[in-house]
This record gives sequence, structure tokens and C-alpha cells, in this order.
Amino acid sequence: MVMRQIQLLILVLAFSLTGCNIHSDSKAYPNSDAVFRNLTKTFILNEDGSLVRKTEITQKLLTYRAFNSLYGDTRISYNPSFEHLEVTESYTQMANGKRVPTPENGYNEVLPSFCADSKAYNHLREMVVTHTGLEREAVIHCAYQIESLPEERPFLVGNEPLLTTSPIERLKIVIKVPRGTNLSYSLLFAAAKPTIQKGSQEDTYTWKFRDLPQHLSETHQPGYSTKVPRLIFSTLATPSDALKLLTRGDLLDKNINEATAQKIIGLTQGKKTLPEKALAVQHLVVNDLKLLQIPQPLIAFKSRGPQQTWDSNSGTAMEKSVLMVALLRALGIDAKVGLVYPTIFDSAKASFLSVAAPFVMVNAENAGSMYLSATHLNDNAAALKHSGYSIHCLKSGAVAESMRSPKGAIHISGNLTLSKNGQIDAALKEEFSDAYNPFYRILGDASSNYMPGIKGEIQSSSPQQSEIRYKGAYNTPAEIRGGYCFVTLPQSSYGVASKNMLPLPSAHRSELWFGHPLTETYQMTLSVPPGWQLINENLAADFSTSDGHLSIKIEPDGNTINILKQIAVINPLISPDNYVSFKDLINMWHLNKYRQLVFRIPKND
Amino acid sequence: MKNLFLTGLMLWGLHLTAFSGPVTQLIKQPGNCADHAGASHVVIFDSTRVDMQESGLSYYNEHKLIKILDAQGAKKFIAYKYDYDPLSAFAEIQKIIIYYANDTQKVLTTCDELDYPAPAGTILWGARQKMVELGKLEPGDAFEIFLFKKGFTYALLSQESPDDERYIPPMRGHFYDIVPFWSDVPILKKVYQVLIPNTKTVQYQIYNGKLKISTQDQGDKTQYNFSLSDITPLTREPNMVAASDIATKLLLSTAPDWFAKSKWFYGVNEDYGSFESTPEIDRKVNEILAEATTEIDSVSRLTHWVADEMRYLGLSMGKGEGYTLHNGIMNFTDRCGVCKDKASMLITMLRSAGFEAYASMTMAGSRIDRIPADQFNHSVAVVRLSDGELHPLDPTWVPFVRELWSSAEQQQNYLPGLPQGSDLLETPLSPPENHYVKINNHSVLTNKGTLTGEISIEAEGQSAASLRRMFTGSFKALWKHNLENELLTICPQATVLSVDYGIDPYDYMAGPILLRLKFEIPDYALVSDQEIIFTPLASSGIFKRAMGHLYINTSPKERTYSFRDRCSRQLKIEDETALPPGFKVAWLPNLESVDGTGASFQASYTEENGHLRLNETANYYKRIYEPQDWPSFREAALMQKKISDSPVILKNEN
Repeated sequence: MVMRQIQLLILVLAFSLTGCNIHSDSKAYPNSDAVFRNLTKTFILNEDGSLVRKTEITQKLLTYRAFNSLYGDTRISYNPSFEHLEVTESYTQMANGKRVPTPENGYNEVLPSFCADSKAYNHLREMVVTHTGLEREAVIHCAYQIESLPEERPFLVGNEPLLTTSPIERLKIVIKVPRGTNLSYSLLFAAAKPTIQKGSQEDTYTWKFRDLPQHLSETHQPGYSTKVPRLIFSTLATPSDALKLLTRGDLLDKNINEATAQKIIGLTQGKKTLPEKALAVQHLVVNDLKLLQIPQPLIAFKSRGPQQTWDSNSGTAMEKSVLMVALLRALGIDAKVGLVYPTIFDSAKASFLSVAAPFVMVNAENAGSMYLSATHLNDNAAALKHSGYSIHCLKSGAVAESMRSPKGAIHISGNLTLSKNGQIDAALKEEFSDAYNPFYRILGDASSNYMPGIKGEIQSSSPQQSEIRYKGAYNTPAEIRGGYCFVTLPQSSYGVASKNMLPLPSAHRSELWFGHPLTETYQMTLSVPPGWQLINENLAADFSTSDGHLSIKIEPDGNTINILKQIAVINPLISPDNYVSFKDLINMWHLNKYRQLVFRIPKND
Repeated sequence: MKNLFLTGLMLWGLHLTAFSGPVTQLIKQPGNCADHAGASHVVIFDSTRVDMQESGLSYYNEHKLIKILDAQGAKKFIAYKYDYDPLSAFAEIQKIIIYYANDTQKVLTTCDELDYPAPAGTILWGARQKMVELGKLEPGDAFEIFLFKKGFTYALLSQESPDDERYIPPMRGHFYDIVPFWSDVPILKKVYQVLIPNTKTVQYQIYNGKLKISTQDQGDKTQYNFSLSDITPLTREPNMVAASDIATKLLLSTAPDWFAKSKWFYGVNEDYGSFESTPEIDRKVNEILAEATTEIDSVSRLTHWVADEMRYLGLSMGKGEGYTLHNGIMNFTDRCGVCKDKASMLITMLRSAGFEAYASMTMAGSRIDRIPADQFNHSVAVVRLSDGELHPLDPTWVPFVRELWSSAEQQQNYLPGLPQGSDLLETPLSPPENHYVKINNHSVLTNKGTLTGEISIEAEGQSAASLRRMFTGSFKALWKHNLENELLTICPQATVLSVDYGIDPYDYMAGPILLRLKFEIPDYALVSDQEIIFTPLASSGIFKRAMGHLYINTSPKERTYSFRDRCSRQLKIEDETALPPGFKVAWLPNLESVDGTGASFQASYTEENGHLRLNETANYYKRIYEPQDWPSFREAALMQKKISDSPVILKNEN
């Protein structure tokens, strides 16, 4: 904990350092591939509603990889229908001081790959500025600005992380708004304050930072809840303004045409219940329509109507969500578009617009509310609910609802019988509850299997709980070698195993995200042939950390082995302070001696 | 009869703009997914007609009919696209007729065509795309495409216009084409027709199959017709060679032989002045070679300078791009280029240093067949050394690789562009010992099951490159983590006490790569009061990234087609584990030697003075293997896996 406090102090000090005059070239970056000497970002909202975004980069390259793979090009996406791009400067200063300007053929406009196949978004462009003359110790100088037409996007909404994959010696963020315009902003996980200049025409907010460390993503890193310092800001007065913006042109009231309505009615005809129909619509929208992963600011947060999305067989996440609601409405199902976003973005009004992800809320009557994604098949409503996130319903207005990650459990019980030939017969029951209940997946595909090696049958399924029975031969038979029999115990593929946590690195700088709190329990017996003796030792363990606990007890009782294994992760967000003990917990759960039992076979067998 | 009708329709269709009756009948025939083994769409016909002119300019018509079989097929064809290079080709999607399953139709014309810069990654040559949005199709819908192109290999305009000069191929007066008659989706009928002036001598060959062939006299031209019916999706084997090596294809060319192509390639770059040096380049060459000791050292220093200091990124030189090598001044200033430009920079520098060097074309990933059609996708260099021989150099494939010619390209055809011409050549096998991997582990096992010790890996050639990529292909801040991960992947509970990757993994010319880890692994072995069960760490699969053979799918017992690994390789594993007092070996896996044309393998366990030693040696001889090499290759890989999966059982003798 003390170490963590020291780290925080260093971080705060680092962000508080302004005006310190350290000569850049005296610094060494032995663990970095490059360093930004200067990075300046300027956002200007003009009185007429036009918007100017400027970026100025001075970056020194330190390794071969820096210019071969990482920073050799500057790629700038923009929307020529309402934005004008101007690259004001681009040259390289080579290690010997020679200045190499980007040649004419080094400016290439291409179609951004995220709008491939889409006629509607075929006008978007990406300018690729190729920096020539690159080598180690070369410095890239590049500056560009994008100016938008007044009527298209007359507001500022920003989300600027302060860290990048290379350290930054000087970072400056400047925001200019017409005098008197309310700028809502928040600097997350950092302590600097802006200097504010109130001019006769405009108000200028300036943040300056010095010596920011590099930030590299880590395994199992949470999305926006990770504590990467960032500046969020907005000139929209209220969250309602943001929601109105998203639904311009009565987007949510637009319907599909009669032919499309008949089509969806036909496609869902075999589905008996409302949840089944809703899931069939989700399958269609997720699987059969191409997802266009177009950044929303690039299209001024505008969406096409549901019929246009249907006709083009492709859409953005928002367009797919709106289409899904329209298709459900055609089936007489009450559904709404919602937005989910990290609650921390509430600290600057309406800034959530820059990160919010749409989804669909379905009133499934007796089955409660269904939360369905239009971009992927989620297993249950809990998949869209996480601590630290909030939701807005687009239809009902700007009332945000904070969420807590729901818990869930997986419980496996039953008997395994080992024969002398290594054959294992299983009679097991797997129960899933709440956040770990794959309710939607089971409804959508009853043949889904959750225990590798054994065929299961669904016994029951409800939004709260589902049950699968496994009976028959376990098709991972025991191995017999040198007078010993090696039995690998069955494991649910839906619990800890589904998290793909191994291997966990020795240290984790950011928080580690586990998902929803989970309790996974195995309560089984294994019957073995008479005289077969379990040789594994020390098969009892109890281990607790602040984020979870583990209990294992495997003991023979005659020809029966009683197996009780349980792991509980109670806190889904593991702090760097608690990481090592959490790693120990996960590693202990996966230890081979608790998963593979070895039996000494009597000589006469 | 059906095929005859299809052929007639396709050829007739080339000249028709409104013809729907028979097409709608054809659409009804192909059935659904079940009739086509799960395919999401079926090509009812695919017809191409090429009209070659004296200049080599070709007019090119495509006519296709595609039926959607399921929703994934509909998703695949929300738009129909065609890529082209405006500097060398003209393309137009003239018309698409959509035949909906409800018997309605929609005709899309050039008015519906979008023309825009294509998405691009590292090659920024101004490529463009034509696209027509098809929108939402349903299973049972079909669409008929009429596409027209002219360019180096394409055709269809009836007259050559002055503007067509830029579409005339650089090897003026000649034509070639490579026509696959294989597919990953069902094709009911494929037809390829080409009209060639009688003044030209055309040679063609069908590889890996048979086609129906006919010729027709068309006055001053001869029409060659090639067709095949009922093309089923190619059945692939894991790790097999490229489909073009084993599936039916047609190659045709009017070039007389590879010598002619070689001379042309030499001339086009010499004429352009690709290899002319400048005083600045000469100074850099002198600087690079200041401490060079031998001829090969000089070649090596120049090759690796270009490999490392000139990044792979293609900018367009305008006219000539794609087949002309950028000149020295452009390359040296830009410090970027694609393979041909890196080759050009190296040739420029070699010539500046007094070497005789030339550009060369090659085909990475598949075979070049004898017909001199341009089966090239890569460019390299050749240099004449004092042995009088030309030696290939590849500055594109050897950044941070201790080779001059990447052995990941052994058994590969190449064609040097020489003043006197050259035949097609093939790069030689690279002996396994040039790519050795030595894993060495010394450890102590306690009776609690804890393993402590030090494991190291040393590697050379392509094997070294595989390991070095965990540094040169990663953020510098992650180097330690990446090396630790090699052990943690095998034993997540391990504590890595120290890692050693030398002073600078980027300094690859200093010697073979050597990596070391010191560790402590609790619960490594399964223990009881009488037994200990464990796998020697060196054979556990650690450092798998250096052993490409472990990524080859060994489930097929036999192979029909040739297969490929990344490179030839020699493997030596030595593990010595000090056993807890009183414990002796009770059971060891049965080890068998392998010795075949593909690979060899030997392994042994020995127990002496309380130590258990494991020695494994394997040789994988090639990159491209024949089916008859498979049994020994497979058995060698399986034996290594067997040792990994079959732990040793120790018994307490006390």
C-alpha cells in the first residue's frame, strides 16, 4: 500500500510539473521506442459553430521498431462532406540535422478500412502522411488541422487520454470557446488545473503537462475504468442535449417498411415466446448485417434510419441498434435504445457521448427486461451491466442509472466413475446463476455445450438460473502409464476457464478486470476400481485475498474420492496493490495437482 | 447438355445487354446450401474473354452469375468491388443485374458505380476501387456482372485509342495470364477465351488438371478457348503449399522463355537508371564499409544496412510504379520502399562499392512454373562474388536476421534480370544446422516438487529470428515481460528470478541469440511420499516459438499435397535435473528414433549419480516437403510431443 501511495505521489507530482526548464536532449529513455518532445492539441469552437482541431507533433524516434512499425506514418481520418483537412507542416529532421520534407507522393488519401463496402460512408477519407528520411534519433515534425462547417457539429465533445505508447515531455491541450460558452471539463486521475484566459471574443483553457510516462496496454485491462489520466470536456449543456443530438431527425420514431416488417414476421414465425423472438432478431442483426465500426464524431454522431440500414445490409452500432428496435416493434415487442458508458464521464456534462456504446432494452414482460447488444451475441443481461458504468435510455431522456456488477455462480455436482481401462463415466449437473447464467445463449441454441468432453442436456433455463445435465462417457479418458492412472477432472468452460487468465504476468501496472464476481464450485465424487490408490498429496487448500478466496479439499474414502473445489472472486476490479495475491489465487486454482489425479494401480490389475 | 447451354449463354452474354430468360432458369438450378456442401454462394458461370492487340494491350471482359445461398453469402456481397491501378489499367463495372428470388429484377449501371481510393496499409501506390452497392440480398437472389477492363493483362475495348498508351504492358508486344481454375466456392462453369494475333507465338500449359480446350480461326487472330465445369471448392490440407501449386490452373504467355523476361527486366531498370549512385550514397557506402574485412563482410554490411535502415513502405514513383525499381536518390532520401526498392537500394550501394549486382524477381509462398508468365510477387538482388557465381540477397526479409538470403525462402524460384538473360533458378536447401536451436536446462528438484534452476536457449539463423522477434517486434518496455512469459506460459506459478537477453537484442550481427532465465517453480512436480512425477523443463514445450514444427498439424496420417514449415531446423535439447535423495526412475516413456527423408529424431534418458539427463536431437531438413517426407516429419514432431506429454515417474527407494 505504501508503495502504491508513493507511485500516486510521483504521478501527481509529474502532472503538477509545469514550467520546469529541463533540456530535452539530456534525458534518456532506455525503455522507450520513441518520445514526444512536444504534443499540442487545440480545439476551437467558433462563434459561428465551426470547429477547428489542430494537432502538432514533435516526436523523436529511438529504436528501429519506432520507424518500422509504430510511428512512421500519421493517419488522419476526416469527413470531407463537412470537414477540411490541411497538413500545415510535415518534415523529418534526421540524426545529422538534415531536414527531409514529406514529398508530394507522401500524402495519400485512402478510404478508411472501417467503411469498406459501405456506399453511405464511402465519402469518408483517411490522409496518410508518410514521414520519410526516418532513422533512429530522427525527429518527426508534423502539424495539421481539421476545420468543420458551422452547421454540422456546432459543439465540442472530447475525450483526450494524456498518455500514449511513448513518453511525452511536453503536452499542451488548448480549448477555445466563444466568450461566455459554458465548457464543462474534468481531468480524470490527474491533478493539474488549466489556466483560463477570458478574452473579448473567446475564452481559452490551457492545460500543460511535463514528462508524462508511456502507457502500454496490459492483459485483462478494463476499458475506460482504467486509471489512465484523461481530459474530458463538452460544450453541450446537459446530457439531454447529447441524447437529442444522437436522435436527430426523429431517428427513434422511424419505422421499417411493410415488406421488411413482413420479412421479420416470417423469419420469427417459429419462435413461440417473446424472448425467443427478440433473440432471433438479435441473431439476425448481429450475424447477418455487416458492422461498420465508424467513429461517431467522424459522422457528427448522425445515424441513418432503420430502413436504410436494412436495405444496405450494414450499419454502425447505433444504426444496428435502431434497426433492432424497429424490427422488434414490427413484432409488437416494446424495445428501446440505451447507451452504456463509464460513470466517470458524468463528471463533465455530456462528455459520455464520446465513449457511449448503444444497446437495446427489451420489455420481455414476464421474463423481465432483456439487454441485447446489436453488435455481438451477449449471453445474458448482466453482460452489459458493470460496476462503474451507467446507462441512459434514449427514449425516456437523460436520467442515468448507475450499475453494479451482478454476481453469479456456477455449481457442478455429481459423480464420476473410473473403470480399469481408463474409461470415465459421468453423471454431472451444472447449475448457472445470474451473471453466469447463459440464458440467452441457451434460448438461442439449446445444443450449446459448457463442459468440454461431455455432452449435456438442458434441464431448465430461466433469467435467474439454468441447469445442464451431463450423462455418459467422458471423452477425455484417463491415461494409464507405468502402473499409474492419470485422471483429468472435468472443468466448466464457462467459469474461470472462460477468462483466459493464464499466464498472468509477474506485475500489473493498471487494474486487472475479471468480469462479474463469480463463485465456481465443484462438488463431485470419483469412484475408482478397488485397490487403486490416490497418490496426490496436500490436496487441501484454503487461500484468501481481499478480492477472493479459494477452498479445495480432495480426499479418498475407500474407493471413492470426494472432491470439493471452490473459487470465489468477489471483487471484479483488482488494484495493482492486490494484484500479486490475486495472481496467486488464480495460479493456485489452476495447479495441476488439483486438476489431475494420479492413481497407483495394484500390480495384479 | 446443360454445360453446352451454359457455355453458349456465357459467350453470347458477352455481347448482350438485356437477356434475362435463360439466366433466370439457370438461377433456379443450383439449389441451396445443402446442394453445395455448406457454401454461402455459388458461381453459376464465370466467363472471361481477352482480346490481345499487337502492342500487348489487352481488352478484357468478365461476365459472371452468382447465386446467394445463405445469409452469410448475402453479407459477403453487400457490394461488388473491383481493384485497379489507374496508372496501368482501366476498369468499369458496366452493369449488374440483380435477380431477386421473388422474380423481380434491378439493373445497376455505371451511374451506380463509385470510384474511390482503395484502403491501403503499407503500399500507397494510388490504387483505386470501383464499387457498386448491391444492398440487402436474400438466399435465392442472384446477380449478373458485366465488367470491362483494359490494361496490362486485361481487355474489351474494340479500338485502341491514343490514351491507351499507358495501358500497354511494359514488356511491349507481349501478353501473359495466370488463370486459376480452382476456387473456394463452387463454380458450375468457368470459361476463359483469349484472342491472340497470329503474329505472336503463344505457349500455354494446364497444370494440376485438365481443361476442355479448343481453338478458332478469327482472321488475323486465333481464339483459344479453355473451360471447366463443376469446379468444387478446393479441399485443403493443413500447412499445405499454396493452392496455386496443386490446383488446376492455366498459364499462357507470348514471351518466348525466361531468358527474354530476364533481359527485359534488366533493361527496364537500367534504362530508368534505378541503380545510379550519388555522392551522398557513395559517402554512406564508404562509411558502412570503413571497417569491412572481407568481400562477404562488405556484402553483409550493405545488405543489413538496407534491411534495417530502409523501412518497408511503398510510395508511388508515378509512371512505371509496380515494375520499375525506384532509383538510388529516391530510396536514399525517402529511406522507405517496398521489396523492389529495397533491392534497388542494395544494388546501388553494391555497385557503388564495386560489386556486380542485379535485380531479381521471385515468388514468395508458391512455385514458379515453366511457362514465362509473370508469377512474381517479390523482388530481391543478386551479387557476383569472387567465386564467379551470382548469390541472392534479400534485404526485405532479413531485418534482424543473421542471413543474407532468408532461408524462409529456400527452395524458391527466382529470375535474375541479367544483360545476357537467365533461366529460372531455385534457391538451395539451407542445412538444418544453420538454424539450430539449443535448449539447455540445469535444475534441482526437491521432494516437495519445487524445481529451481536456469534454462537457456541459443539459436541461429531463422530460429534465432523467431526468438528475436519477441524483442524487435515488441515495445522495448515489454522485453523482460515477453521473456518471462516464455516460462509462465508453461508454469504460471513460476517465479522468474532473473532474465538475461544480452545487452541489446537489436544487435543481431554480434552473434547467435542467447537467452537465459533463472527460476523457482513451486508445485512443478506432483509428489507423494513414494513417487515424484515430472517432465524435464527443457522438453516441456518452452520456447515453442523457435520450433515451427510444433505448430504443424500432425493429425493427418498421410498427405496428398506437399506441405511447408517455416524453415529447416536443428533441435538440441539437454536437460539435467538433480533428483531428490532416494528417488530413482521408475518409468520413462518409450523413446523411438526416427530417420527419414523429412526429419530425424533421437532422444535418450540417462540416470546417473542422482541426476536425470534428457537429450533430444532432431533435424528438419527442408522448408517445402513432399508428401513422402510426411511420415518421418510427423513421427519426429510426435516423439517430441510425446516426451513433453509423458512425465517421468520417480520412486523413493528408501
